[in-house]
Amino acid sequence: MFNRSMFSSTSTSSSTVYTNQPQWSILLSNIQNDILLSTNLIFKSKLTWLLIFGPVALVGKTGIFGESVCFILAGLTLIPLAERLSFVTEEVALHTNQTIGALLNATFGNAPELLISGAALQEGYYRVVQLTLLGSMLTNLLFVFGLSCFIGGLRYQVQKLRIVSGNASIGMLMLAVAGLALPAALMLSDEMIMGTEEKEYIDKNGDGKSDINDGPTFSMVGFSRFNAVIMIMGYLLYLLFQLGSHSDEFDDLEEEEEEDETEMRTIGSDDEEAVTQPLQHRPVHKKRKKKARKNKFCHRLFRGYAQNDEESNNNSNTINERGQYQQLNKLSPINEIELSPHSTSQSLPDYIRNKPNDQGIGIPQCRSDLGGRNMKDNDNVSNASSSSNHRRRVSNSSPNKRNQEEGSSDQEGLLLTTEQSITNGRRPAASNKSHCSDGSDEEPYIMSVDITREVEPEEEGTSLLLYSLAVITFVIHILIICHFHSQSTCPSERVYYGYLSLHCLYLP
Amino acid sequence: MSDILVDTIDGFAYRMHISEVFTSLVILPYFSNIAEQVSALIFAYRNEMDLCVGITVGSAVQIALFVLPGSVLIGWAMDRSMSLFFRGFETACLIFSVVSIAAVLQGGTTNWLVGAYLLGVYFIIAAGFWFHELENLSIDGELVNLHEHHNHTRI
Repeated sequence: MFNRSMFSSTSTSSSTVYTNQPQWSILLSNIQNDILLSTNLIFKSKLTWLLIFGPVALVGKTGIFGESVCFILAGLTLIPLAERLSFVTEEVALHTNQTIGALLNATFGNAPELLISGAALQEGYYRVVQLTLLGSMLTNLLFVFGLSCFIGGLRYQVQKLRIVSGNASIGMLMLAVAGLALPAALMLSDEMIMGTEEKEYIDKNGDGKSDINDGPTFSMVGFSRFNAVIMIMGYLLYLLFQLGSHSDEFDDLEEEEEEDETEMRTIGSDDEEAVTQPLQHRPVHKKRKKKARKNKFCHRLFRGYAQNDEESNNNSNTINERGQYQQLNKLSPINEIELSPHSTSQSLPDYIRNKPNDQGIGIPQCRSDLGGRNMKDNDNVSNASSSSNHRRRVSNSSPNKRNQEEGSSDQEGLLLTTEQSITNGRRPAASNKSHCSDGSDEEPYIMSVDITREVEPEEEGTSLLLYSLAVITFVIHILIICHFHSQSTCPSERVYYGYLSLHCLYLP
Repeated sequence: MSDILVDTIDGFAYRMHISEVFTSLVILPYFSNIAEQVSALIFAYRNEMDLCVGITVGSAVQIALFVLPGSVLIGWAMDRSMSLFFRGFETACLIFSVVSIAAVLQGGTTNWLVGAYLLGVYFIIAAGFWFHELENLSIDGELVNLHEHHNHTRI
């Protein structure tokens, strides 16, 4: 239903198929499809039903509920909004490059921050604004990045960062620190210009020193505003650097340089794939992913856990196909490790090498068009594999669109057959690595949506691991809070249950 | 929604017996950043570290260089005395976090130990704000000598 509408909207917008029709009907169908698309986009996620709490919080703010209830309700309402925003910006990242995608993601992710600070400034809570923004920075820099490095590091031995963009970020952070720390240094060292009456006013304690709890002074505010102008100019220059002058440093050039040697290695190591596959047109993103060495230690650790969990007698060295598939259902890190070209990829069955593609197929409702693309790739492997890799770059060319339409026409039937073949473990061997990487190109979107819906078993393994880690982290966090607040009677338990229910919403 | 969140933070913190400082520094950013957190985790799990760094560090850069000065300028337009003056402990936390991030980004590679120590720094900072003294955050941020009555209305 929705699959067809999405496809037809994309195909009518650019292709020459419908040019013989009148202009207004195209326009009308475009509008209709756009409405369908947007409603589909908004109400696809079950998280969206959290939006119901918004009006409840608005009503409850008038005094029906307590303030804490309103706080929780409003916080719950912000979650689907943020999730939708990040989803849309990630989609943009696919069609442009990663820099713009990350930039847009950050921008829309920070839109709530700007709204919060605007609202709080109107009320005069300038300390709340300061602390919230500072806390957001600390959370992003330390907590989120640290947790990402930790989880990524459990899977990969070493993950490479990009030096140039990293250095630019460091420089900008240093500029921000200078702008934020130097007013404090001037104030705390008590060397700031002050008028006499202002000094008397500030000197609340009578000890001849200004008390920092007494609110800002004229010169402080002036210094801050000067710094603010400088910092915003610095940010604009940073944007210019990032998007204009040095955009190639942030682009995928580095990866394309790496592509050749990876191809050589792939040809050398894996003859079957070198034969079945034109190697020149592969997407470049997955090269880095495949190149990264897996973390053998944690690999072994996870494997041990998985074997304990499922009580299986499979030896980790002699893996038959059946054991592989069972582990694929249970815990995905083990199996995705098998994706690496270092491991014995020839001996593996094809459905394991093709796993990201399976994810795209397994969730047809959430990203139907992507699933359709993957399906089409599977369908006509031999003739369309060279053009399928161009689709990421040249997504508006008409042959691709026509291919998509063809793929969508028999999409549902194919979908059934392929799911059956997956579950039977008899996936056709027509798949190759191009499709694997093409499918996993789409993975971010699939993953970010299917959190909230029912997923295939191997998908569930990935998201369960991630979200159980998140749950564990915050349960520990809250347990610490409960420990420190043993003197209070019930409130900490309420916080605990609130957090727990919040995280349970993310679990499928 | 966001204004409701800000309005009710006082009552929430009071009910929960959590200090407002801790609420606005740890809990509120967690709520508002949850989508970014999830996507950054997913990207890191797939070894797309460029996107991960772009989301996390880029977001922090954007807050530090755009949202924060922007709110100062908004405060200028509203005649509020929003300033860039942070207290000593907050400034120290900021400097520590930026230095530790700079060490990671300069190195060019990450592994799980890097993540572990970044998390450690974050938890130490969060604990520091847990032991932060109670502070009346609802100061009306007007310029002091424009509003002489300010002193009497404050606690």
